[in-house]
Amino acid sequence: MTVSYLLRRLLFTLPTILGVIVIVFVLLRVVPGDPIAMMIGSEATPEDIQRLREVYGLDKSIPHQFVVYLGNLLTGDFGTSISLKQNALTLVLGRLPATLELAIVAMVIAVACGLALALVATYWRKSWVSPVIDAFDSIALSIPEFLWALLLVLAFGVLFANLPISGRFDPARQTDFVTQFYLFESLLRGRFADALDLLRYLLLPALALALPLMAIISRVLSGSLREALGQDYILLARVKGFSAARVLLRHALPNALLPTITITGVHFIFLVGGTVLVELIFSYPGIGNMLFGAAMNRDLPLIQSVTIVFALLFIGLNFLIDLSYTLVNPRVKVG
Amino acid sequence: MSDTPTLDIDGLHLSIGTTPILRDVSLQLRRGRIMGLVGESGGGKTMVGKAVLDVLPDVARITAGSIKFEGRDLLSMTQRQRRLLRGKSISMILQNPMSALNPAFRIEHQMVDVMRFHLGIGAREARERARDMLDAVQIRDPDRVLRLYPHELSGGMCQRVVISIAFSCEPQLIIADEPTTALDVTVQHQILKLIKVMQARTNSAVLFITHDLGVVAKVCDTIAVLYAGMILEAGPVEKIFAAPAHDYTRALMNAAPRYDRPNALLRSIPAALREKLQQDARAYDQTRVFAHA
Ligand SMILES: Nc1ncnc2c1ncn2[C@@H]1O[C@H](COP(=O)(O)OP(=O)(O)OP(=O)(O)O)[C@@H](O)[C@H]1O
Ligand SMILES: [Mg+2]
Repeated sequence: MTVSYLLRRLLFTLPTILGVIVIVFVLLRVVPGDPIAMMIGSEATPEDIQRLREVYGLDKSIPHQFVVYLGNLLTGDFGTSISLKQNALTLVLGRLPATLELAIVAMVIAVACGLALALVATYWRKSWVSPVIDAFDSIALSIPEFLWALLLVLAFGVLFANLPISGRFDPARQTDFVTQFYLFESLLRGRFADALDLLRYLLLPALALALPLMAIISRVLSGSLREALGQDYILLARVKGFSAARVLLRHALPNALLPTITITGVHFIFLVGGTVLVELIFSYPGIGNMLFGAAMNRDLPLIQSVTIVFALLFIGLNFLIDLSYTLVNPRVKVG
Repeated sequence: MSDTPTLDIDGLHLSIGTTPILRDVSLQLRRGRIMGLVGESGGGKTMVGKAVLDVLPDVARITAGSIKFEGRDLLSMTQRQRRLLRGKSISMILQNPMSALNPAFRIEHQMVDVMRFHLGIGAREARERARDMLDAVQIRDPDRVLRLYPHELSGGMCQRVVISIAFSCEPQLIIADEPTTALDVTVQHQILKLIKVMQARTNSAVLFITHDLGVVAKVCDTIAVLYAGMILEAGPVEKIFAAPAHDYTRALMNAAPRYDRPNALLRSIPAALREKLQQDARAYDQTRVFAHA
């Protein structure tokens, strides 16, 4: 893989980024409701409103607003949150680590459980185990992550009540974290009591996000494992006298992984998108939750910032996933 | 020298679902001998080999008969016992060398794993032996080839590697399932010669599956003709070639199959003969149904 290939790939993401910026701008201007009126409440005089519209540049023509907006974005100025009165980008970036931790833990759960389910179902493919896992996958798949979130809240918050269903950590706990990556930081600094507490809070929202992806991984990997097991090189591995488990793990699995990696990459992006509703349900302080608050308050700069950061995140992830394919499969021609 | 055959199949019946695939197959193969198992596509040749190795498809069932390896009854062994014979005492050369090697691993890995597994030797010694084996199958520059992936090798090279894997633990019995069918004509001759050389080196018994009588004439000592899962005739190659007893064998010999057009064989068996043989098979199945009732 060459530098010029990398640059070319990066260049291809530019139109996407521009498209997102335009769409966000247009959408926010066509939806009804006056953000300024929302902001200052019913006692404001029309003069107050007019003054604030000027402050936020909302009195100018739409093309004019767009040019200003684009110029500001390019200089890294995402505006000031109307409702929180702080730099919108700083607010979003402060919340991003919480969302990333949630998405990554969900991903780890999905990959680990999906892999295990696929291997178990394939190893015992002639017994009752395989149809049971198949049925479980169907259920996990047919329920979207926000419904899983509600079901988990119901199950653990109401019926069993042994896992926290709201927030990111125990508010009574001392927190003196340097970064916003609480979980990763506490793991790196060896503060396992903190990490455990954070994980307890993360478990249910992460599980809600992980379940559909886990089922997808299990399905896709079972399919490719079964296909691989029909190949001649598996017959040769059996002819060599290796046990069924060794044939499955060491001879079939390496060949069956590629489609799963592809699918997982694509669905990780959906998973990150799914954090918005799941964070809301679990009152988890990530950018999804922030987006919801911003929308309720018609906080245009904040909505813009969250959306654009989300979009950049998706584009960046897509880029990384594309790169990883070429790394994983040496036979994919780079061109 | 003991008189026990290396492979002794007696009255083997095998079906897939309710369809009979092998009907009363019996054959004997001695140490140091090569037996050609000939017959056209779908006749059940591969099933015989897979039954010996215990790698049959899930749907296939052995319904009667016995398979003895060096006097030991294979069908009464546990799965694990049979598995541990594979690769070490009984091995197999697959038809399509390009798909027989695992695309995910280097040649070295695929040669070394079976030797370390069965011979309990270390990585370094196994690597040495792998080099020697590649030398023995006349691969130039074995050190380089060991580092390559299967897709970097030609079909002929792959088959040499597969052959060296099959012989690497010096098994007493090798099932060679159409080892040259997928190869170029020019390469076929070299591979045939090679199998003979390797067989002589280890003094193994080889069950050589093919649909090509020309190949049988070149490498085999004995021959068994299989059609519709039935052994039509069997015996020493010279005897059968000089005086084939069965119409089908005669038709096969007249068919003079060509290396480059294996399907030409199918067209040249007279339809009437084919029909008669199918009838025989059905009649045979009838008697068995009554015998069981
Ligand atoms: N997995 C399977 N499921 C069902 N039927 C099968 C399966 N494998 C083989 N058969 C059937 O068993 C019969 C014997 O097949 P086999 O592969 O032994 O033939 P063969 O003589 O080796 O032919 P070829 O020269 O094409 O390799 C065929 O009729 C085939 O259709
Ligand atoms: Mg066959």
